[in-house]
Amino acid sequence: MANVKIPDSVLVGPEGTKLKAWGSSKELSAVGKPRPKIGAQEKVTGSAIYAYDVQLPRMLYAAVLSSDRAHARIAALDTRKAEALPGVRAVLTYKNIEPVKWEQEGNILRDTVGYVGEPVAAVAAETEEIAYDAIHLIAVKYDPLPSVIEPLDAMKPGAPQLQKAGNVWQGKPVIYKRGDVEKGLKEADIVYEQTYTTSVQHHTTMELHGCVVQWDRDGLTVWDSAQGVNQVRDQLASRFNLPVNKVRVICKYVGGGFGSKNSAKHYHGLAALLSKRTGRPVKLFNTREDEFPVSRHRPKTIQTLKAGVKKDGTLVALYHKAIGQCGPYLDGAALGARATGDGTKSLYLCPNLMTEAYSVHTNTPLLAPTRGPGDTENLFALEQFIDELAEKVGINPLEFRKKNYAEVDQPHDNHHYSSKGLDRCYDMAAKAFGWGQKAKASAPHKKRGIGMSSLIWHGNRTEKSQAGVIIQPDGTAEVVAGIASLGVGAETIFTQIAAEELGMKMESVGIRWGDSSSTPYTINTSSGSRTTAIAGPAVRAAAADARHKLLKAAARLLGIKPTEIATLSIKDGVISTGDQSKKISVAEVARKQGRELIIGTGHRPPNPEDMAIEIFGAQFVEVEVDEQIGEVKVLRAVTAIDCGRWINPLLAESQIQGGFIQGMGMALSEERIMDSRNGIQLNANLHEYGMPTSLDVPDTNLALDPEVIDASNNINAKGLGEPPLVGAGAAIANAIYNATDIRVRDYPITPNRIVQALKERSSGTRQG
Amino acid sequence: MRKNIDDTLKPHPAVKSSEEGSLSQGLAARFSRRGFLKGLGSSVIVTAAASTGLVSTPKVEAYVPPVGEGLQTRALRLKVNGLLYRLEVEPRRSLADVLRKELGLTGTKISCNRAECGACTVIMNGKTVYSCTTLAVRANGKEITTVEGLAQGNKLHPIQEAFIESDAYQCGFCTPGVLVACKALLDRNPRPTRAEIKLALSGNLCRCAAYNHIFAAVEAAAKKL
Amino acid sequence: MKSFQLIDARSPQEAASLLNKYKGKAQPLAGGGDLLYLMKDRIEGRQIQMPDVLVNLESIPKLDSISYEKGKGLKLGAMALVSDVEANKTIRERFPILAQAAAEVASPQLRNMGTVGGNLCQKPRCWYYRNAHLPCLKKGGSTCYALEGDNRYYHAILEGGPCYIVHPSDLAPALIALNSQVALVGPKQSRTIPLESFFVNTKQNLYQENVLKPDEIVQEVSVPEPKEGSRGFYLKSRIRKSWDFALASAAVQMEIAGGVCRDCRIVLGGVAPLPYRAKDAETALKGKKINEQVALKVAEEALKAAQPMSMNAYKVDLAKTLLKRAVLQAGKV
Repeated sequence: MANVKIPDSVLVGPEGTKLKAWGSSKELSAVGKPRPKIGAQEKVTGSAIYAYDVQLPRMLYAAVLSSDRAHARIAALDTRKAEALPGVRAVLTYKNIEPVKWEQEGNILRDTVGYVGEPVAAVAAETEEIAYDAIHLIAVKYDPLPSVIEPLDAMKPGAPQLQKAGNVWQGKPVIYKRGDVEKGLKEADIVYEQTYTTSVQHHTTMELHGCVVQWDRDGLTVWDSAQGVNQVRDQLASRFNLPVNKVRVICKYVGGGFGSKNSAKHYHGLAALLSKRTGRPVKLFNTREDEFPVSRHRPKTIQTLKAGVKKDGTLVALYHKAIGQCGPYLDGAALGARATGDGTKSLYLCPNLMTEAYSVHTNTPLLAPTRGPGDTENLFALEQFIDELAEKVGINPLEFRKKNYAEVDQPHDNHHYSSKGLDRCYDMAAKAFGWGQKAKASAPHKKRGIGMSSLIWHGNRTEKSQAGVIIQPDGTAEVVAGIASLGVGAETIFTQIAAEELGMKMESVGIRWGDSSSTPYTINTSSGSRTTAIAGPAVRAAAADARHKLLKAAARLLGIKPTEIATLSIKDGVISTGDQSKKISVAEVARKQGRELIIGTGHRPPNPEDMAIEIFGAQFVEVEVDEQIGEVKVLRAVTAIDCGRWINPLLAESQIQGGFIQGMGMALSEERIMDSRNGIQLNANLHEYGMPTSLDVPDTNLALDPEVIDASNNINAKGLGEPPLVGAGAAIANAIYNATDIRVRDYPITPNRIVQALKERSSGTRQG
Repeated sequence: MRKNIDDTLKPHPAVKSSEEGSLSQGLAARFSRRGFLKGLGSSVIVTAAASTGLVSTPKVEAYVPPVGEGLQTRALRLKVNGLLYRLEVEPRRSLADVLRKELGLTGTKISCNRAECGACTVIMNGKTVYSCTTLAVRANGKEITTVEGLAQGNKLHPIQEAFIESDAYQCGFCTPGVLVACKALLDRNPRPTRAEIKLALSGNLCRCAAYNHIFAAVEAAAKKL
Repeated sequence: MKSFQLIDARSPQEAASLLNKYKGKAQPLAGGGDLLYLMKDRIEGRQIQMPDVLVNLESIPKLDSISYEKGKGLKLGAMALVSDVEANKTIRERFPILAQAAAEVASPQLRNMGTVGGNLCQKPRCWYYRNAHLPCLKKGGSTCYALEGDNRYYHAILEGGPCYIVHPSDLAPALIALNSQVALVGPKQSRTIPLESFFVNTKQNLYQENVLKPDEIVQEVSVPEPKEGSRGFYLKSRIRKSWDFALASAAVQMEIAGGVCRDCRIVLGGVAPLPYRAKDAETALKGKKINEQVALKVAEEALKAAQPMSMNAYKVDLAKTLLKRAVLQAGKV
């Protein structure tokens, strides 16, 4: 594939100048280099302070009493014993809570509960132990209300209706259509239909959800475990009716987010109100058990796919129905996590296509975007289905996917892509993997198999962003960015981008972030794999502005006419004319500036209107299966992702390896197990909710860069945080099938499901 | 009638530093202005010196939480990272919680509080254990190493350097526990195979799943030992 | 957790006396891996209360010892660490099935904290039992929630009912396969019984998985020296390769000569409320030359009484496969 030409609008620079279009990363000096992360020292010495570590003088500890009923009215609530316990400073319930409009829920604490895990009361006490002792002294009596737990049950007539419009969100599915699916099916040589299910996957961040809040006369200060400092700040200001300049959110490091820490949740509100009431800082962190409902999760889905293909493998019709479970309501945070059919619309060339997505209300906890929401669930189903189609037609799964390659973005007026390196990904990954040859198993009762998947992840939409670059008096630079640091390395790549634009060594560029008051708005929160693509170009623009100002100052000092500034360049912190006859260091220019610092600010130019932006990739997996005991070992994974330019290959590799493993967890061991009689999660702990351990991960976990230069922004990058999960599940399921001829269409593919499937196959009761 | 909890507070014997006279940065952090600022989440990058520096301030009062009326405490001698601390805590307090609160050593994290994730891993009398499921009073007199004990002043342990070079961490929250488990491994087996590394780390979860880089970091560190 | 007093015992008898003194309000504290978990979750009911007193067993000298006497066998103190059992050279050489089982327990850190006694006395992993909000049968309530609920992983296919837990221990099947004895100490008396008789099913005792009296503790497990030419094997199936409890496990210890099984003991784990001694399977194996067919028959016999619940029928095949493989592995010359 040829790189798409970068439009001028994307390269707009300060005062009518134009930024340089970066070519191959090999030609760059800071961008594209594998630099270790900033903040490394703090993290490896244990001195990094997370919100969970914050200890303030006179701080109180808060604990929350959660509902153990799926749907009930609180008939009686007695907190007297809790209040009387020595050391308890405040108890909040629906009876005494200040009126706060907390999104759709009404107030934070209500007199009804709609799922197990909904907060009922909150206590602030001198110590954590006293707070939890107090929780256990609160007596609650519930009057049960009709409840429904399973989405298919909720869709049946006669099910308790949880919303006015019924149990289907908005009363109807979200439908997308192009062409005529029925007609396409008639024209097909082969028609095939299949159903798949995916389970609830939890974020299970290592740092629990919570915050430390101080509400005093100066305003509201929140030390938050968050994916950004601005969204929570804006939401708290709005809900508590405070001016934004009286609300401050601080988050330098967060111990994992994966989509669960984007928005203000009830624990922010409870901690804030407890602080206001007691006049002291309050620390409120969930227990691990409460994490499961409180931090939310991705939906359980039931997906039906139906397709028509020609004998030669051409897709002529595709229908994808997704039913996703959601809680009793969909608030702002939950909307982004709904079941959709998005990836299916774009991934393969198909003129007749329909997606139908239902979100079904049940008395289960609320949703929040979970790393790769929507497309992860979709492709776990779609990419197994594609393999099944390929088999029906008798074509190699890789060839089948290539055959139906879409050059343009079909759902968006057939716009060309800002880049699409999927073909490169297929070829690179297939070659590195050695696609086509199944290896010999390591023991007679084991079987080896290989499988693959495409992946797609929606690229960013145009968003505003700004950043700053300060040239300090000694000539070192400091990027100012209003982000939190999730550990993926955004703060690090920003310094690389700034260094590249400034022409300075990476070591001379630092960064400050993590405080809504002193590091202004750069992104609302780091989610959707957007930070690099949204904030990165703003950082480059800010660096360009600082650079421009530096060159103007240098020009004055070197006696160069302002009209000839374009002849100056900066390399390794030295500004020189084209013929090298005149030079001055950045440090010298800064020194001469004295106290009038050069400060660059930059805004992100909008995305080109006529381009579609999507992230693509291919994943290949080798497994070894001991089918009689249902044990699956992932031996090798090879992932190639076209996310545009890899700003830092070391960090990109971490994302791809880690993301694949998280997808592997969803494919093989992670599942919310809930009793559908009462809506209680049975495995709300970290050993029965099984994340992969060191013994479960593949030793070979390759990350390949197809070296795509994207045209939609000035750093040519698209986003990487989430795509690596998207193809993992189907690649593994397809490999299991390749090894054993057993198709398991219900994720996670746990040993019991394989042993069960094996039994059904040998007794002839299993379909396919 | 129950008395107000504040009434039950008598001046406890202050937590005394050892005779060496220096304190971990955690204790100093609670009461020094720099530490107070650190607790406020200052947005300036913490330099190497500030983040690992030992402050020699003898006999500083450590954090003494109130104890509920009628609840007993037990005297405790904790030897952590080569320093001796004398405390009194309720028997139900976990070692992890006491390390973090009373001693200010917040490197050790509590993530599941049920011995199911490894974030609280410390070395106790030479063995890795989950400090969340170890009663503080049962750590009495035992030698404890936390992540804060890996570096010598500003000199990082090879495993810490290897973690930085290999990008063997992402969010970093599991990292202290993983580092401690790595150190315990390398102390008893300086040339571990890949299989031995994976087994030694099989009691530490990393949700960001930095496992592949972690294994590489241990192998790199082993070469330098 | 609720606050408690910790009292250091200086001898097994003193520990037992303290349990007696505090009459049901005291519990012995071994490694803490299970008890502290239950206390943090406040798992209580009519038949189970949160203790006010914990009797510290770590303060009892020599209770953690592992000793071996040639010809006589092995003695494991109740406080012997699982990691010490796993690493012990003599155990690896002479009682390999026990070392294998110890290696399968939990995670490295828990093996460094967990004890032999604690592993044998641990409470079940049934998620209804371990849910503080549900008054299940075992806790003194009136309902077994697993019967019509989610019973896919840690519920019984053998000897289940009225409560359907499975015993989660890895050490127990191996130790019973080795024909171990266990010494129990009360305030005034001790008794030594076969380890197999230590465990009970839920018909025999709904509330407790073993025969310990409220004022007794486990003092020691003694393992007789296996006869010359003995081989043993422990196989465990689980979802993840660390931490997870057995979906099913099989312990086979046999005396073998010339490829023929002279004598054997077969115990299954993760399938019944107690470690399940498969006597019919032993009968099918004794005196036979070990081959695929025999191993298959042994497996069939072991599981023939299986009564799967609504979601755990796969355990029958799983256990059969594990047992078959363990027999073949133990039978390899």
